[in-house]
Amino acid sequence: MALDFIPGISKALIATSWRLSTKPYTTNDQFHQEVVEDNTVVVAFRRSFLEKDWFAPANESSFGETKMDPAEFPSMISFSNDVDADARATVNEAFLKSLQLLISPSCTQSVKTLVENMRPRRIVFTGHSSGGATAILAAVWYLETFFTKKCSDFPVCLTFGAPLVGDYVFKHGLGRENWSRLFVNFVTRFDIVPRIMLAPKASTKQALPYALSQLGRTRAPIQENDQTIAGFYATVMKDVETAARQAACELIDGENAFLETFSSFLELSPYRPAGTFVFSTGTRFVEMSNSDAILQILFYAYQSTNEQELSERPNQSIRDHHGYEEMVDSMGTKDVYQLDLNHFLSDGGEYALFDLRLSTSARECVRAAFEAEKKRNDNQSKIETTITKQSTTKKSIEEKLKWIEEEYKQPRCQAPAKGYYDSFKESNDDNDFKANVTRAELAGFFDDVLGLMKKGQLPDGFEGDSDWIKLATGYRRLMEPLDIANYYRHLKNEDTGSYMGKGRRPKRYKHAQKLDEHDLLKSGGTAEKIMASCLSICFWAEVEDLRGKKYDEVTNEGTVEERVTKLENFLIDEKVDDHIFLEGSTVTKWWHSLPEHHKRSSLLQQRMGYTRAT
Amino acid sequence: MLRSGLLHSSWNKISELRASRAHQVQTPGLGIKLFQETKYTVAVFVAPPINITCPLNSASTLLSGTEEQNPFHFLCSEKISSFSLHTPAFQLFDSAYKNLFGLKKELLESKKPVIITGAALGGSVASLFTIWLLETVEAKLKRPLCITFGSPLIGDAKLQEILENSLRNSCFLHVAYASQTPMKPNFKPFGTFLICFDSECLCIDDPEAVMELLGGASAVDQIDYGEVLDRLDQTVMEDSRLMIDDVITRMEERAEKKKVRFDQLKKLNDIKISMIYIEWYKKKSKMSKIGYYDRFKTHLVSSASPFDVDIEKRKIEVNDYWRSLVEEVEKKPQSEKSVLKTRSLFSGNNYRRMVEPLDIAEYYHNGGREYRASGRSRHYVMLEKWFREAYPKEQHRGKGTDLSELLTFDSCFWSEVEDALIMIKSLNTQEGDREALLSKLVRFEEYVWEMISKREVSPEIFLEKSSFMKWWKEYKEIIKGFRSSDFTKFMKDRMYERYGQAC
Repeated sequence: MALDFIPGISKALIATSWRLSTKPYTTNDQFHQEVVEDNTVVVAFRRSFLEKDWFAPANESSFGETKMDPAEFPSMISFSNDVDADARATVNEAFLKSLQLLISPSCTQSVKTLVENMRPRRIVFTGHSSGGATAILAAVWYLETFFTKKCSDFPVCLTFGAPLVGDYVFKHGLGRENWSRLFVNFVTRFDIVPRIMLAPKASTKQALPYALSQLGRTRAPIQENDQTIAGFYATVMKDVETAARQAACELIDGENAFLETFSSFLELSPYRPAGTFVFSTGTRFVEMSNSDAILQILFYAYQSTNEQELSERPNQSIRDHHGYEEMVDSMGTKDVYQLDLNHFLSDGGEYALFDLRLSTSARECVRAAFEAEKKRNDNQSKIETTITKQSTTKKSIEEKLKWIEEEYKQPRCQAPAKGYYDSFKESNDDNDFKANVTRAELAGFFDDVLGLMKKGQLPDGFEGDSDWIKLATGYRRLMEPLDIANYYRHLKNEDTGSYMGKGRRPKRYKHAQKLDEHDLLKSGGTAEKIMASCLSICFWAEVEDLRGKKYDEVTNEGTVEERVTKLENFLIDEKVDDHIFLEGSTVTKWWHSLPEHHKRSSLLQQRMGYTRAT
Repeated sequence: MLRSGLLHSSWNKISELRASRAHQVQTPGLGIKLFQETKYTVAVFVAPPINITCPLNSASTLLSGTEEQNPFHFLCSEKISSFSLHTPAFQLFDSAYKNLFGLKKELLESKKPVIITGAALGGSVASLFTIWLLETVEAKLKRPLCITFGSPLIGDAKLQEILENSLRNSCFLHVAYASQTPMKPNFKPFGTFLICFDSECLCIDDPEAVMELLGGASAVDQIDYGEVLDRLDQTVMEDSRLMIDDVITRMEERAEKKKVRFDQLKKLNDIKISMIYIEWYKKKSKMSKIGYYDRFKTHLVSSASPFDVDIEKRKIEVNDYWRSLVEEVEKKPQSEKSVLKTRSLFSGNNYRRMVEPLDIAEYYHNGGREYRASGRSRHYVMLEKWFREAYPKEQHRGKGTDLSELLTFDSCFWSEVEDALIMIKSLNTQEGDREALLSKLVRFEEYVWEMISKREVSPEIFLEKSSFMKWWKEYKEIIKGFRSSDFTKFMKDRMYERYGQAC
């Protein structure tokens, strides 16, 4: 079977990447570069076996982790985890720092300058060991900085025995942007390095500098009875076990309050596998990208019940950390087995699991990981069916939106009507009632989907899918005015305050807006354009809030006069729908209720058909 | 769980404390020690052996009443006001109350997570202390973990029921040797159990299954759980799977039942849709100048349109939903009541004001009287009570606000109207004490007037065919010539026609 992890990545390119990743440095340079195959450039990052390059010395958290800055990494975020406060991705600070050094303007040999010169050539980011970690972050940075949805020359990241770099949100962000496929991590079976980050700093601290120095020595093998090394490997694997077993419990049991309490007493690593992993098993390669399953394999593939075998593991592990030469050489001759959901469902992944010598309970855990993936996929197809296909009892989501747009909104948005906002607010007509029921049905659907996203029960890519973003944005633009009308019709502002106040605006709209904004950002939209996209719906709430205020009042959001002017400017500058200015519309009625002296100098005069009172 | 080391280190601390007390002669009562570990704080409880201090089947203590009488008062709910505890454990707890008070304060301030542990009777006291420590639990706060070894059950079915509905239940891990943990009649387990057999163990939280697996009569103090844990540690590495088929089947059945109960609460969106129908029903009725209260009342008498029939069905649906929601909340210990979130509090209030009038119509149609005192469903009372507790003073409606969508604040308004109509009927047929009836009617008039002045009543009561207007027409005749007030002027001058309009 051919190697086809990523189209266009040849065996030769992988070999070049490996060679460059391990090429010695004679200077202070931090990376090597080489142009190959005309249009591709390989950038390999320097590895280090010094403790400070693995755990940032000043970092006080248990796993040396830090949050990514959303200004620099706008995609490394979860939008659905908590709609009110974006969950930022967590990554290892030492690895992030080594990247930041290379992209800072003061850097003499800057990656930034390099890639700017090399574009539009395709770039392969690569590295061995900690160099692989830098490569991963460099690739993410490159995607964030230079890529908009229109680009096609995607970079690739190939790592050899790299440690884990980021957490669940990091993995989720890569998945949502459809970038996961660009990351391929080669891992030999017993290599300890991809497992090290699953252990807390505290438990490995003393032995780590020594263990790293041993890993750095490519030639002389360690003494058979080196107790420090044996202890280090045992400790790391115990923590890997805790992480893997805890993750398996969550996969099998789902939400469980006791498990939650219990795990708060354990030091659980935030790091999770991201991208594709290719394990070498001796007889073949096993390729997989289910993060949960990879985590289980990282633990179980190392396990043994045989004392003799276990005592040999440290040596094997060090050998394996440098065993990528052999892995690269055997590419093309050995079989590649794809352990993905489809294969797993058809033959239970027998070959791969046998090669990795997994026990029965290990297979159960891997199975649970795939079952969870299947459930996510099933949830997605259920949603997609609801969107497009009409069931016997219910109309599809698309049909409902279409009805609102064509049968409800349009006829109400031409004079002498008042616009669909006000028509809905008054609700005197059978169709207003019908629209109200449709509003609630749609809300139920979008709330359910958001609930699934929040619990991680949809594929990571679902939120980033352009069809979904389009649907959610269309829904928000069409329906949110009706929700605002409903809110003010029932005087909820007198009970709980403004629609835009904390905890009032439905989360489904906040989330849809975030996706829309992110999409605009990714396609190169400006900050102004993004701001306007939000206001174009929510100005209704602002009008309603201002209606209840006196012109000379001072509110928490500034004086009423300022707010009025701001709103007017928006109505003039942006291409808002004409129906907003129909006679009898809330906007028109509100504007005419403003004091004469304001109207006289207002820019909206013409639009409102204002003639000065004589 | 076994491999985490938490269980081993807890057991070691217990052994350590036991050993340090062993050479002291005849230590009565309770031994408590705090261990400050790097990652967490461990509070260890050691108690005298069970068979020395008391027979195992010793009596239970019933706890009820106020805070002064019952240190666990905060656990009581609207539904469950008392429960029983294992007397020896409670006595030990009670005797050390002062010390424990200081410990509680210290642990609540602890920055590190807290483990509370003990074996046998010491574990029982540890459990009691943990419950007490959990007087305030919030979903977001770090919860402590209580680990007991071979402890007898401490409470009855009521305590179990209280904890089952509480986050507190997630804070207990009871390690118990299957054949050597005696059961006390009427007592029930709570929390999660790690049930140990000779070389295997099972982790479950289903109380019924725990009851089925535990048992035996021998004393519990003699087991060295350190050894048990070591033995299990060995076997966990191999593939062991304990299958007790029928126990598992029954567990699944119960889990399924629980899920059904949970699903009922999940159809919130269907309820919202039904409310939209009822809202539309109200609007349509208003257009035909009758008001939805009177339309519902009329269609109960005469034949109804499909729309009316549908509304009747939807009313039942939303009532069922809220009734079961209120029941769930009532089971929660009072210190956890805030679980009824602001949003449900408001929608519950909205529901009550919208739907209760329909229930009132039905009640009087069936010949009922004095609804507020004797006909009202408990869930309305509770919804109103909780809303009042959270918002003692409801915002007045603004002077210029359009009230056409307003729901009358007092959801029992229509029952007052009905009672007033009944009084008028009595007056007309010359039954009862005329003076008393008249003064009651005047009181009703004042009640209405107050609501009108505060803008708390829906303008729909003034619709032509409404029961309220019917009352007014008859009342007007009765008081003719001897009573005039702001209200009568308001009505006679038809000022109500402009009531509630926006200005």
